[in-house]
Formats: sequence, structure tokens, C-alpha cells
Amino acid sequence: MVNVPTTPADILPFIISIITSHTFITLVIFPGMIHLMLASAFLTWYERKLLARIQLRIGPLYAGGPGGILQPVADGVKLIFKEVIIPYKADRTLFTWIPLVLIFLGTLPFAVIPFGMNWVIANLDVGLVFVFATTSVFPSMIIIFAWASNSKYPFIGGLRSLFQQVAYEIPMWISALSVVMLAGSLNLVDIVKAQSKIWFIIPAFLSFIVFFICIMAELERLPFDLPEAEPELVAGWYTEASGAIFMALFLALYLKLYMMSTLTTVLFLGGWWGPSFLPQPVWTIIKTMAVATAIIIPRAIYPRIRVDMLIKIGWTRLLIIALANVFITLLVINSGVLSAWGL
Amino acid sequence: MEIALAVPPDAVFIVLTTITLLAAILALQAKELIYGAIALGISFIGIAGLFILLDAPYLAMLQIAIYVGAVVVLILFTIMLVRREVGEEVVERGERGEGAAGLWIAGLLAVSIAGLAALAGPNLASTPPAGVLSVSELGPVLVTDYPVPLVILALLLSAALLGALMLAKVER
Amino acid sequence: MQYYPYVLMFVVFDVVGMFLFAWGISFRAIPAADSLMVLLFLILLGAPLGFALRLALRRENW
Repeated sequence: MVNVPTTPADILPFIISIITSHTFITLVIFPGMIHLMLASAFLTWYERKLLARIQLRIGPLYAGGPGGILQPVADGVKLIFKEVIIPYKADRTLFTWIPLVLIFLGTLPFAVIPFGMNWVIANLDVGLVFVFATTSVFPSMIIIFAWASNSKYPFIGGLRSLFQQVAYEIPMWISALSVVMLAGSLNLVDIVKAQSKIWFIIPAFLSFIVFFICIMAELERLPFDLPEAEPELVAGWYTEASGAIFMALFLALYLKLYMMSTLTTVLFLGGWWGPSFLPQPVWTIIKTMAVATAIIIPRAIYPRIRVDMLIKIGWTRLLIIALANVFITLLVINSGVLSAWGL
Repeated sequence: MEIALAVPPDAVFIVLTTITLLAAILALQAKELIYGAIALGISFIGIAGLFILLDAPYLAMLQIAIYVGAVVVLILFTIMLVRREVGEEVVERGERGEGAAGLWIAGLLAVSIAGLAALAGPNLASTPPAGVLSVSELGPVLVTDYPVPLVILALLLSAALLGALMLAKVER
Repeated sequence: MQYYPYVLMFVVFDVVGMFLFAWGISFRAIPAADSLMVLLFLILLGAPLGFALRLALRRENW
């Protein structure tokens, strides 16, 4: 498969050929590791700045560069040097390893999400189901971490978080089903290609609304903030995380935010399609940032929803709306209205 | 979609089966129930990897989403709630003759599998004959050719659900 | 303990969702009678699920 270097003079061209190969670039640089770490750190700064501006504050300012853009770096350095406090009789192995597993799970769906026609790491035929399968492992990690913390607040917060994420995962799947019906494929590249004439947000508008609400609940963002619930539970299931563990967890959470925003863009907002004066990945990132903004803004505005109302909404209203939208999409497709756009 | 591996498939198969079996044994023997549940999740992931090796990618994703995503969550939830109410560990002591019984059953299994393989003779294929079962082939087949199993599956799931709820309900 | 039905329903709906994805890809290529089978599948599972939801929402059962 590759020309293994046999003489020392061969090594440098070999390394250069690996570095410039498509696999390496997509895996490491874009949309791979470096881009993901930068995006995740950038989102932490972006959220604080955005919330601050909405609340008529200034937000991070002094950390260097314009507008405190090096704030995430400062945060990272500070958190690395902080002491990692592991609670009495807590489970050390699980406590230290689960955040790393969460980072791994957060980056895994990016292997199939396309940022441009050729900017995808692995073009899987079952791409969408791969993303949903990996995101469905999150709740079990959270509850294991909450248990491993061996204290009351994380335990209660972990259970609440479990119910919330579990309740909103099914409407998310069913609303994505409408997209799958429209595109006729689980392959994310095919789904974006099918949106070349019309973005799926227009025929599947109800699905988009349900999907968006489910994403906000999956990410534990206000107004679904109960597992964090600062006045009540300190910080919910990650109360006992400190120092480097908290940094890993924080990174994983913002990575998940980025992943859900990118997924919304790919499924509903037409992926990389846009006027060609900008390259395709740039359009994906612009739309993703728009979705991320729309997810972050309600945090500054809305109050929290109570836990039993939260679970009820997920299981009754949202599920019925999502199922109804599947039937609506079925009728729309069968009536042939969308054939003008090739669907 | 071809699954191209840089290492021979046998190596991957051996690694995956080792992980699956070790995790399954750990799941049974672990002292802490939570460790057992995590080991069970790992063995499910190993089985999903075996499905991928057997050219059934959709089934592998289904396995991860349902087993690791839902069943392990159910097990963990039950462990945590029951632990809270009971508040104690259940310590198991080995019974006499346990090891011998285990070896005897393992020997029976090995002999029967070897006998079946010998009976099948030259018809025993070493690789699956068909190519990758992509989901676009699986979908129509599932719905068209197997409607009765679908309905039976629905009834089975409903029976399990109602049974579990009836058992957990508080009687008045 | 009162949240136990929700986790059970999640398991069942997980399976339903996976089967629906398999249907969603192929429903254009198969005759309409088979799509009715999927609808029957949904209804057969939906009725006990509605009952489970009712059980879960009434407090005195837990």
C-alpha cells in the first residue's frame, strides 16, 4: 500500500507523502484533531463573550489578543496546575478515565461528518446511525462518573441528567428519520448532496424544531439546565471534578456542542452548499457557528424547566410531534410535490 | 463499501474475541456490580466489532445503540437504585465442584462444535460468501420479506415491557 | 423508582427507532403494503407504550 523507505534518503519523501496524503490531512488537521481542539476551545471563549454581551457585560478581556481570545489558553493552564481532588472512597480509576473516554466519544462522530465534498474522514454508508450510536453511549458514561464521585450531589444530578438525555434522544432520532426519508440514505455525504437544491429545513421544518429542542436538552443547556442547576446542586454530575479532570470534561462538553451543531448543519441546513465565492468547508463552519449561537443565546434569556415537566415534554409532546412529522413527510413525498427539487 | 484492513483480518478477529470474552468473564466475576456493568458494555462493543468483521455494519451500529446505549443504561440504573435501597454488597462464595462443572461443560461444547464442523466437512466456508450487506439492501429485505417476524417482535417487546411494569408496580 | 418506566420505554423505542431507520431508507422502493406492515409494527408497540406512559404519570403506582 505504501512505499516503505529502504534507504535513509527515502525517509524524507516518505514522511512528506504521508503528511500530504488526504487521510492524514483530514484526520489530523481538518476536520480532525487540531481543528476540533481549536474549535472546542474557541467555543468556550465564544460562549462567554456572547453571554456577556447579551447581559450588557464585557466578558473575557484581559487574557491577551483582541477581546481576550486567549482566555481558553489561560483557563487550560490554570486548570492543569490546580489540584485534582478525588473524594473520599471515590473510585479513582473511573474518576480519572471517564473524562478521557468522553473526549474520545465526543470526537468519534466527527469521523463521519462531512465538512465539504471531500472533507470527510470516513465515508460510511451507515454514517448517521454511527453518530447516533456513539451519542447514545454518553448517558451511561455520565451515570458511571456520577456514581464514581461517591457523593450526594453528583448522584442526584447524574440521575437527572440520565433521564433528561434519555428522554430527548428518541425524538431526536425520529426527527432525523424525516431527513433520512427525504434523502433516501444514511450516508451523511449523500444527505448533504441531496440538499443541493433545497435545504431540508424547508420540507422538514417541524422536524428541525424538534431536533433543535432535543439537541439543547442533550447538551444540558438552559432551559434544560437541571442537571447543572447551580443554586441547587452546585454543578450536578460533575461537581467533584477539579483541575485537569474538569478541563477534560469541559472540553468534552464543548466538543459535543460543536458536534451537535455540525450535525444540525449537515442534516437540515444544507451542509456545505452555498454560493461559491467561499470554499465549501467555510460555509459549513459559518452555518455551524450560527447554530451554536442559537443554542448558546437561550442560556442568557430563559429560566429553567422543572424535571418532571422536562421528562413529560420529551416523552409526550415532542415524540408525538416527531412521529406526526414522519407521517407528514411521508405524505409530502408521496404526493410528489418535492420532485421539482429532486427529492 | 469495502472494509479494507491494513492488518490481516484474523489478527483483528483474535483481538476482538479476546476482548469480548475477557470482558464477559469480568462482567460475571467482578465484585463491584458497576464494574460488571461496564465490562458488559465493553463486551457488547466487542461483539459489535465482530459484526463489522462479518460485513454487517448496520447490525453493528444497531448493537451499539441498543445494547450499549440502552440496555447498559437500564442495568446501571437498576444497580444504583437497588443499591440505594438495599445498601449492602452481596458477597458470593464459590460452591464445591464449581470449577469441575465449568470444565465439563466447556469440554462438551468443544466436542460438539468440533463434531459439527467435521460433519459439515468441505462445505464449511471460512469467509462469508456474500459481500458487505449495506443498509440499502438490508432495509427493503427487512420490511418486505420478514413482516411476520416484525409483528412477532412487536408483540414480544410489548409483552416484556408490560411484564416489567407490572412487576415493578406497587400493588394497592 | 417512579422513573423506571421511562428507561424501559427508552429501550423499546431504541429498537423501534433502529427499525424505522431501516424502513426510512427503503420505503420508496417497496410496495405500499409493506409500509402498512411497518405501521402495524408501530401501532402494536404504541398501544402498550401509551399504557406505560399512563402508568408512569399516575403517582400512586409508585
